[in-house]
Amino acid sequence: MILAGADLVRRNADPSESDVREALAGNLCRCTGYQNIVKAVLAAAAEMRAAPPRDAREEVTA
Amino acid sequence: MGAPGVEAAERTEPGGNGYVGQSLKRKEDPRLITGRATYVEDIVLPGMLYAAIVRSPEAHARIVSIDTAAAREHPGVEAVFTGEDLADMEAPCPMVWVPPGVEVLVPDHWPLARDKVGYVGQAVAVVLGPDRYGVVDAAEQVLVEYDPLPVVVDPEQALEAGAPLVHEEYGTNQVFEWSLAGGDVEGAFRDADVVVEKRIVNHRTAGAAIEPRGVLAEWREGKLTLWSSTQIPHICRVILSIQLGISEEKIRVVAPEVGGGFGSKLQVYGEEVLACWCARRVGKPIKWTATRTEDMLTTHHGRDQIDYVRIGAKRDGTVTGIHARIIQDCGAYHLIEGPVIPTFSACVISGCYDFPAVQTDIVGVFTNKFTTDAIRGAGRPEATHFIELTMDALADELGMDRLELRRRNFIKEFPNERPHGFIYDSGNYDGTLDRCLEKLDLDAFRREQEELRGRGVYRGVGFSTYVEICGLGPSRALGPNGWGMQGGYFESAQVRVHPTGSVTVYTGTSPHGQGHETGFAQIVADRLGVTPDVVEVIHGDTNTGPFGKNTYGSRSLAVGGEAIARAAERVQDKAKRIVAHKLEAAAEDIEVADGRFQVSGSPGKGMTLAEVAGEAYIPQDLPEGMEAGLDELCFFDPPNFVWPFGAHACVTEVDPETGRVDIVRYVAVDDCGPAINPMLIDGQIHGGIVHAVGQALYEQVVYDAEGQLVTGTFVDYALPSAADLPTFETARTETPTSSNTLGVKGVGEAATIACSPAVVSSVLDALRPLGVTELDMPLTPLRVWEAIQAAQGRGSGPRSSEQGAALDEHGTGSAGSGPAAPSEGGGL
Repeated sequence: MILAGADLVRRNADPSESDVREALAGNLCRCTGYQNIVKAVLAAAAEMRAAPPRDAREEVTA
Repeated sequence: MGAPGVEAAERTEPGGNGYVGQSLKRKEDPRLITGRATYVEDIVLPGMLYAAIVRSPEAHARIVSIDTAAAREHPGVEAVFTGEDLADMEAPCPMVWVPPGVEVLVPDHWPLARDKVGYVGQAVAVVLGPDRYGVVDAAEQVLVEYDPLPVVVDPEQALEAGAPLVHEEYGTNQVFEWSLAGGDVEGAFRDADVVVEKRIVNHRTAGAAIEPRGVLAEWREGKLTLWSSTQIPHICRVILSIQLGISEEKIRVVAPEVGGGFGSKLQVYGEEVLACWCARRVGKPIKWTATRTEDMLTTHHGRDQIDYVRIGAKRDGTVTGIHARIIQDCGAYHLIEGPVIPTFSACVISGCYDFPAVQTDIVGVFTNKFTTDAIRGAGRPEATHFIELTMDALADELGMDRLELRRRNFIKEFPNERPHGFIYDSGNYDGTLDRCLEKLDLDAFRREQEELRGRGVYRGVGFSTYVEICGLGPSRALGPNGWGMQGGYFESAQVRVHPTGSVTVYTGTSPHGQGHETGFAQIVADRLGVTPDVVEVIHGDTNTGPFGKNTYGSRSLAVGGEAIARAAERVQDKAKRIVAHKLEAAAEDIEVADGRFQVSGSPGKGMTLAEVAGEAYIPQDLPEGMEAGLDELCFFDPPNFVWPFGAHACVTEVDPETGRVDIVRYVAVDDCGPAINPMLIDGQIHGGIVHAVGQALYEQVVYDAEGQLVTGTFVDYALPSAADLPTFETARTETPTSSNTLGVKGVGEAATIACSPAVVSSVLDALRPLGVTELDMPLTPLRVWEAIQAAQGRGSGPRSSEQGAALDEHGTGSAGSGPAAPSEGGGL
């Protein structure tokens, strides 16, 4: 789910909620109802737009 | 049964730092999000063997012979065992519900089948070897000859005379029959002006935890250790001791990180016992991990009730009584408590409404399918579903507004004893509904709905006002002399302050994702004047902390959290006496504030917990007669259950041409008492809604007429994805319970209990102009489309086989005219 979110943000720096939901649709979660995962990806995208990481891959694997 | 006469707990003001009530980030998340958590599958022991299980492809058959010779010769295979080898096992898998005065048929259910099989997937043999793929290959070489027997999969057919018998020795497929009633039920329906009746099918679903079941068993130095993906390690130890004849103190059960349970791991499975037996027999550690299909086949299912419901009312809408006849499909064998599940429907049969008379008649039925048992909500989602949809039908029958009917009948006085003896602790049902409507803006929605209908867009709104029973539970009500559960339902806690002032909390609960480590740390931090990050919560290991009753029935906070609060308050009391002694003050003048134990009114005069711990563990100057140490224990058995409640609203849009349902908005207002951590509550509500949306729209465990499971993967068993859902709008009210001093109620199951009728009701509201009045879950496009065709008088021909012929319980399609083309929008 984190990788799918990171991949989306790399391709689309300013995704909509529905973009995020579509991007995460290949991963199932039984606990969260996805709500805060979607919010987290949107929040991460906003943060990365404000201060782009030097290497997005590093951000993901750190 | 609400244990009347027991004094209500009094609320206390713990003082402290005010962490309770804050949305602190979860202590658990860094290890989970970064993939560093330890699940059973992550644990590897030297010399470990893998187990592959040979499972029955037949739903009902005699085992004629099992030939293991080829499998034994397979390279690397160390052993193959069948049911005969397990003859030294001291007891079959237990079922712990023994209701006084009610006969429940409990067939022997062994970890490996003996003589016959009763469901597809039943374990017949186990193959052990060091290569996990090699044992799977070898398992395919175990040759089992079956003599097939007639199969019955439909519970109502199973009750008919002449139906195939799942267990011939009983001469019947009826497992048990019992009733729970109160008030003058006969009079209630005699005096009613209106009686509405419905037949509602609440289909079989799966817990579908993302981590499948898995076990690792080790026999070393005469002691057994089992690591298992379970919700109930302590209960598992007791049962292992009984089944294996190993003294309890020689057994350790560990639930490491558990990747979801939802009730499906509130179980002691045959594979847990089998792995332990094999480990002792071969002297090597044994690991077994379910494949997804094994998990779908043999991890217990839930729901699977057929509910016949009647509600009587006066013309003005005042309800006079409710009666439900529940047919529970138990499957072929029981596991730990399956047959008791519909009793939880009976507990909440009164819903939020002031029914003067209630009755629930329950019939359990054997079928050639796997066991049903507790899945998130366990009996209560089924009850809410049939109560709420029948209340909707009553409103329609009376020509009343659905919400007006609800409000007219809401229970308003608390505590409130229901006719069947349960005592609702506290509630404010109008309050949650008001809040829900504020967020929804119903008038605006009705205008929008009308305008959209003019353009052929069908939107609807549905409501569910619910109450649930949880916080299991008072042992006197639930135990052997009450409902007949063979156990106690207290919870334990130990709060240990270390010499340097940090804290370890041992809880008897056993979380599997809920966030106990965070919420419990907040409770303790406030009481001991420390920060939650120095409070470590240890759980899920029978070798640490006291015997506990683990996690299910939304009990962990209301029972386990209360035990922790009380143990922490015992530590606090002792600390206050030490501080009073050292500072020459009175113990009652010591308060916990600003991270210190200080003398009231003298902010500069106080001690930190670390300073107090130093005194306690270097006991040179303690008060006269005080023991050393700062370490307290509590066993809390609640005086009553807790009764969370709320109001949910769902807005859906239905495509009349395809039958597809989309959830447009979802508003959930829940009341589980004062929040310990609001973010954890929201998380439970989000996940709980989606669990029920899954059942309402997508998920169904389907067996065909021969008893073959046809939904054995996540391709066939459709969990909702992120793209299927909107962002939910949530809010809370806080009405404390008197059942514990925290005032808290459970929330892990609440939204799942609430949600499904709101979804179905909204679809029916959307399709009202098209004349659709009945729909059973799951509301797949095909089923919705067929209902539209039938309501429009267009026969949809023979129903599709989506359910399997034997499970086709709806019969809504009118016969004869063959499939009709969907109409072009406007004509509908």
